[in-house]
Amino acid sequence: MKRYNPGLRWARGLAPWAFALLITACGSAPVFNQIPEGDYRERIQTQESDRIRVSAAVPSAKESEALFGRRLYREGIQPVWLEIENRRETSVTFLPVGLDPEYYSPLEVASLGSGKPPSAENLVDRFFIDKSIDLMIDPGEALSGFVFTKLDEGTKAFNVDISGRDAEADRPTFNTFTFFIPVPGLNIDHYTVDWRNLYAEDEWVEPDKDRLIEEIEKYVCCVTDKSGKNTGDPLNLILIGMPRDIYTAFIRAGWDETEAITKGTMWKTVRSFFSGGEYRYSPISSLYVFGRPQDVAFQKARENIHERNHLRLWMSRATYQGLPVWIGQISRDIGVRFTAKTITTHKIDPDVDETREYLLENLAYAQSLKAFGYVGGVGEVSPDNPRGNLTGDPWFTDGYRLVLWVSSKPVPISELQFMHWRLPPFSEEPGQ
Amino acid sequence: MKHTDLPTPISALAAALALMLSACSVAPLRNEPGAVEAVMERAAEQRQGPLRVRASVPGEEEAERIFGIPIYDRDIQPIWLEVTNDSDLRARVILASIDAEYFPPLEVAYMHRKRFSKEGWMDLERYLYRNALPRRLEPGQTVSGFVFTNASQGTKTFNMDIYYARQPPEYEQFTFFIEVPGFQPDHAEVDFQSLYEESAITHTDNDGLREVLEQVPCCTTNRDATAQGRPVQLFFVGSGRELLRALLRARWDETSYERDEQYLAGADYLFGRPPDTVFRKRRGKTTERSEMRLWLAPILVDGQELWVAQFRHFIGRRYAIGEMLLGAQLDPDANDGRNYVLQDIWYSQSLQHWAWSATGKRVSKDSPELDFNGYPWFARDSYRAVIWISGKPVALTDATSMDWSRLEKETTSGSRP
Repeated sequence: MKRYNPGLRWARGLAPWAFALLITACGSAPVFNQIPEGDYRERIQTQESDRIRVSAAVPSAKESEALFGRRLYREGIQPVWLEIENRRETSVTFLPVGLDPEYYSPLEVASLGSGKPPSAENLVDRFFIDKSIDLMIDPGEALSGFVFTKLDEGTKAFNVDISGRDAEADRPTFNTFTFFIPVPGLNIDHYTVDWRNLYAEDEWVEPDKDRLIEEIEKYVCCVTDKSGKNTGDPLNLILIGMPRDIYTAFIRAGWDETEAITKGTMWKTVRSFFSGGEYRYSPISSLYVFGRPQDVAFQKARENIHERNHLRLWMSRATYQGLPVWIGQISRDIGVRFTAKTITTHKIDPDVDETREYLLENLAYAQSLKAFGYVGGVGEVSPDNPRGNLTGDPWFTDGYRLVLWVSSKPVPISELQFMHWRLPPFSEEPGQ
Repeated sequence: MKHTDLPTPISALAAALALMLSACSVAPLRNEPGAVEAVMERAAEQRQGPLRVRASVPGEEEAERIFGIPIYDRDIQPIWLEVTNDSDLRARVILASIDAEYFPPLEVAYMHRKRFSKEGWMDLERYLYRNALPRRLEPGQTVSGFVFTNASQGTKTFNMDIYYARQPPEYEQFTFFIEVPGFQPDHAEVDFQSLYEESAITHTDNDGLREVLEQVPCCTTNRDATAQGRPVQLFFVGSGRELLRALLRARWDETSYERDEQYLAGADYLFGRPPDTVFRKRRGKTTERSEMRLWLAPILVDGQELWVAQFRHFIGRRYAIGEMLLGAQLDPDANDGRNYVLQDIWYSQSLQHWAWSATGKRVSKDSPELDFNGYPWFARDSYRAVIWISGKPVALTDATSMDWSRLEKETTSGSRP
């Protein structure tokens, strides 16, 4: 069997800065798992295609305050810095709606909450106009400036769409540049996972398809508490992909990363609990599989902290076609409940299959899926006789685990494959 | 243990508070499932390949009777759907294609649990669960039920994708525009047929339009046309129905301003009348919104209607109370609004062609003009956007520009590099 070490690839692919920092930060400040902060220009990413060069960077909360003299993050506004260089013979146009359909106009940012009367002196703010980026870029020109977007604190994922004209072929051109830019300021959980030492070298297995199905159907049905004695929510997901694929797939589908539990994040959670406001990166309590808490968690917030989907993943010892296989659990919070044991907890939708199928649609429509299928392993639990999770919420299921082969590169739905692993009662294939 | 644990005193306080608020109700569920009949009867029907879909949206009162809960109060709007699969393949409805943030039935039940006794809540759970639209369809099967979506005002607009169990994947897409009882949009009150005498209408074609647009004033006026208002930055070419659908697809909401004396006195006027219809788009907060005011022009382009539009973007007030006390503020940058609308129509796949018409008014940002309310505006260039609406979705890459004027940047002093 080929020696396989996903940790190294993860280190190369996802978080080189985090690892670099781990090494360089020795003996300096104790904030070892954050991205360095101070000058956003040190984090510029550049892409080039079709003689258009796009550079992008995202200032953090502190950097934005220094740049604009305002606490823009507090107001839910995040500036994105762009530089667009046009090396063509015809002009091109940048389309900010493609970056954020709800972007803020510069003068809106300038005047938001100013409390001033709407006079010309107050409203026509030269500073913000000059900081914003022009949409039209003439041949040979390089323009830079800011677009003001809705706030995403963990990783900023966005497209830069450029419309133009191919003069020779006399047809319109449309180029999309996709960026995933980590923003400093949060203690994201997966920054600190030591992927290299999750398993000893001789523990890894790389089974073929049939053996893999056997292996993952043998994994425990459900998460447990720390003692391993009490079982909770069903493990209804299997993911296949490199850490980088998983990260990109979920960010593209609108999921947020999760902060590690610290005093600061605890306080943020309490604050948002009482204000009902958003804390999209709120730490998630630990559930256990393979004797350890989740390796990585994602969440998808809706209107407030009480309504969100949670997803926890554990890297298994198995790999399939050279890619790590993960086991996971997804639940949809439908409200806050009070319990004797933990005082407050999130009430989950008991129909966990509904949440599972939602995830399939969500990832497929975000073009984050290469293939999907089903395996057993949870065991059927009927709605009339539901089981309970660790906080006593009922759940029921058809007993199947959804297998999701995720992709970093966008995969159109027309190319999404169904894997004939196990066929649940309502299989995707007729007559079987 | 799920999610985070809170420090004990705070949680205890929260628990006590919640207990006070949630004093148990003892009411059973009292709904009238029969009320759904009227909703089903008026369903709109569409066919795509071997699939047939019927769709209908209960109004606020109907929904309350059917479910026994004031579901619209939670900004949830149920859609009733019936799907018939006449293919010989299994099929799957993609619920997320109808609304990416739809609500599952048990969540809707949980939100309303406090109105009921335990049995009442469980009855509600059972009713909603059993009457939710299933995702999967056997060959030859018909299924029906509700999907719970985020509420919108006015005509309900949604897509619905249904995939066949086949490799590679194939699907049918349905797009519905469904009127909802209890809401009368402002444009329903306008008799567009009788707005103009035939003799007053200018007939032109796409090329001729370029000159004809010079007839359309740069800006609106106040009621007695003694003072200038704000610029009209956009033109739409297309039937009223196509334009309505394009705006709904771009997530604009219809409105129903009451045209009372106060409204008429303060409105913007063009062609001697206030807007024929106003659409609104919100970002979440009521203060973060945009409005589009539309007038039908006395101009036909190859037999198609021409609409004149003014876009205004409200800025600067974080709370509704700020607007009440200090007045609303409008983004003075008229070009930014124009560019936004063009992209908005483009990204919602309704843009067939566009052109730049140099018939507007350039106003330097260094000396903005004031509208009749005293609010400033400027326009860095004199171009107005002309948008040819497509009834069918157009891919982002297929929209083309008409070869009229090249959009030039501001060349006066003070321009940006």
